[in-house]
Amino acid sequence: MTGNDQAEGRPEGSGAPDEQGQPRVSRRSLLGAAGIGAAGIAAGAFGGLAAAGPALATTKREPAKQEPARNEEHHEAAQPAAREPVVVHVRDPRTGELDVYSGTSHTRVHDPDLAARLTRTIG
Amino acid sequence: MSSHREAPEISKDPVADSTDVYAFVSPDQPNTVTLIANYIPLQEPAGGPNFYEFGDDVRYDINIDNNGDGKADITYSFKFETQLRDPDTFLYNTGPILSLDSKNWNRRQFYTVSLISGGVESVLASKLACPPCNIGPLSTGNYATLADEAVHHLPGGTTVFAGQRAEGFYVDLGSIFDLGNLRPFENLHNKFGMHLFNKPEPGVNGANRLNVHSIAIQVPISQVVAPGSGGSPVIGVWTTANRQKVRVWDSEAGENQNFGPFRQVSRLGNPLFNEVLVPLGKKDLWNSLPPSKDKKFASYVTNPGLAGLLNVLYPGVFPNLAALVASGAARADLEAILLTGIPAGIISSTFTTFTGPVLSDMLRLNTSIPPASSPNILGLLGGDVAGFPNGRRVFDDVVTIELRAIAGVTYPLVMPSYTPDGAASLVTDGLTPDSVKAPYLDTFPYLGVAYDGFHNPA
Repeated sequence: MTGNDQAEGRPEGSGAPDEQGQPRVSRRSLLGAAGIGAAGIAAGAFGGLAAAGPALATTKREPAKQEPARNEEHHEAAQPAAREPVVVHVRDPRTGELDVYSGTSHTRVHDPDLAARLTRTIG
Repeated sequence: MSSHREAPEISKDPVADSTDVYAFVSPDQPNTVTLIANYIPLQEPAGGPNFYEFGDDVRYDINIDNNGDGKADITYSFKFETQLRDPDTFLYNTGPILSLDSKNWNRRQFYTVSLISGGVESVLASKLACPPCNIGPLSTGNYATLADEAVHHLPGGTTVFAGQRAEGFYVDLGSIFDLGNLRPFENLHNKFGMHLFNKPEPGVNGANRLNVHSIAIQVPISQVVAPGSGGSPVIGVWTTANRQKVRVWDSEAGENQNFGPFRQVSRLGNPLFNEVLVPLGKKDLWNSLPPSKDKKFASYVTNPGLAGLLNVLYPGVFPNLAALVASGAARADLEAILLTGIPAGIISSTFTTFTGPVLSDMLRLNTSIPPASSPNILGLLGGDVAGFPNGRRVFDDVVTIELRAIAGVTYPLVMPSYTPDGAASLVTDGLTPDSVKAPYLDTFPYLGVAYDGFHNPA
C-alpha cells in the first residue's frame, strides 16, 4: 500500500478531464444523445435539441468547479456518444447555465439560447 | 447518538446515514485491524415486510489516511445489488431460510468490495452474499449460523462482512436530548423551574434491542499503514456514503433513476463529532466534506457549545469549567484528541495518536499498540491505551468519555495548572456494555447477533 493521496478516494479515469479535473460530456456526445432520443427527462429536454444545432454551435463548456475527478465519472463520458438517458438542469435561465448529467458524468454548459429554448418547452 | 440521524438532510436518508465507526487492532488477530462502519440507524427488528437493506444506489466507503493529511490513501469501497427471486409474491421469504442460497429467501443482497490505493481501483471480490435480516424463529431460526456464513475470507488475509448486526452503541438518547437531563444527575439539573426528579436514576439505553447494518473489514496491519521503515503506525479512519447527484422518480418504471457523479452525503470519524460539536446549520455541509477541510470547523471543537451548557444545566456543579469557558481559552486538549491526534509525551513518552498538524476529524488508531488483555470501557481515561480515542472498540463508552473530556477532565493534559471539577470525572449517562442485550462477540465481526423481529421489542 502506498501513502499516495487519492482525489476524493478515487483514481483518475481514462477519460478526458478538463483543467479542473472534471470529465467532460463532449458536445458530440451531447448532440448524439439528442439524436438518439434519450429517454426520461432527457427525451423531453433534448427533443428540442434537434432544432438547436445553430445554438449549440456557439455553446461554451465550462468546468463544474469543485468537482474532482473520479473514475466512474469518466468512462460514461467516453466518445462518441452517451447512449444513456440524459438529464439537464437549467440552473439559471437568465445566465444560461446548465448542468448535463448522463451515467456518472456531469458537465456544466453555458448557453443562454439553449437555456431559453429549454425553458420555453415547459411553458 | 454517535451519528444516528445527526444532520437534518441525512436524517431523511437512512440507508446513507452512517451511525458509528469502529477501528481497533483485532484482539484475536493482533496482526490485523478491524474497521467497521454502521449504517441505517435505529432499526426495529420487526421491520417487515420490507426488511432493512443497504442502498443499491449508495456507494459506501471506508477510508484510511496513513500520512496525516486528512485525505484518503486507501479506500475500501462497497457497492450492493439486490436480487428478487419472485416479484409476484409480497413476501421477503416464503419458508425457513436455512442457508444463504435458500430458495425460500426472496429478496437477497450481494456486494462488490474494491480497494482504491495509489490511484488504482481493484475489485477484491464480487457477488458476496449478505445475510438476511433476523426475522424470527420460523424464518431465520439459526440466525447466528446464517450470519457466520456471510463472513467472507478473501485472498491476502482480508475478511469482510456486510449485513445486519445488533446495535452495539449504547446511549441514553431520551435523557440527553431532553435538555441534557442525564438521569444519574437529574436531581442536579436546573429543571427549568419544574419540580421534577428528586433523586438520581440509572440510565436507559435508547438503542437497546435495535439493529444496524454493518460493513466490517479485517485487514493485515501491513496493508494499511504507511510503507517503509519511517512510516507512522497511526492511521486515520472515517466512512463516507456517496450518492449520484441527480435522482429522478420514473413513474412509468416505478423506481428512481440516478444520474451524474457520486458525491459524499454522509461522513463519520470520531463518534459524536458532527452530532454534538458542529452546529445544526452546518451539519450537512460537514457531511459533504473530507476531513482535510475540517479546519473551518475547528472552533466548534476548541470552544464547544456543550461545555458552556453544562454549567447552565447543572448550576454550581462545574464551576471550574464555567471559569474556563468564560476565559475563552481554546480547548487544545479536544483539538488534540479529535483533530490532530495526541502527540507523544502527553500521555507517556511512547503513546501517540498524532498524525500531524492538519486539523481533520478522523478516528485515529495507533496500530503498534496491542489489544488490552483487560480492556477498560473508558479507554484512555481509564488507563487503557488500546481504547478510545486510540481507535474505538465496539464496547467503548464513548458517550461518557466525550462527556468527561468536554467537562474538562482532559484539559490538564495541556494545562497542568487547571483543576477539573469533581463532577467532570463522574459525569455519565449511566450506561455500560451491560446495557446492550445482545453480547458482543470475541471474533469478527465483533458486534452482536442481530435481534429478531419475533421477540423484539420485548
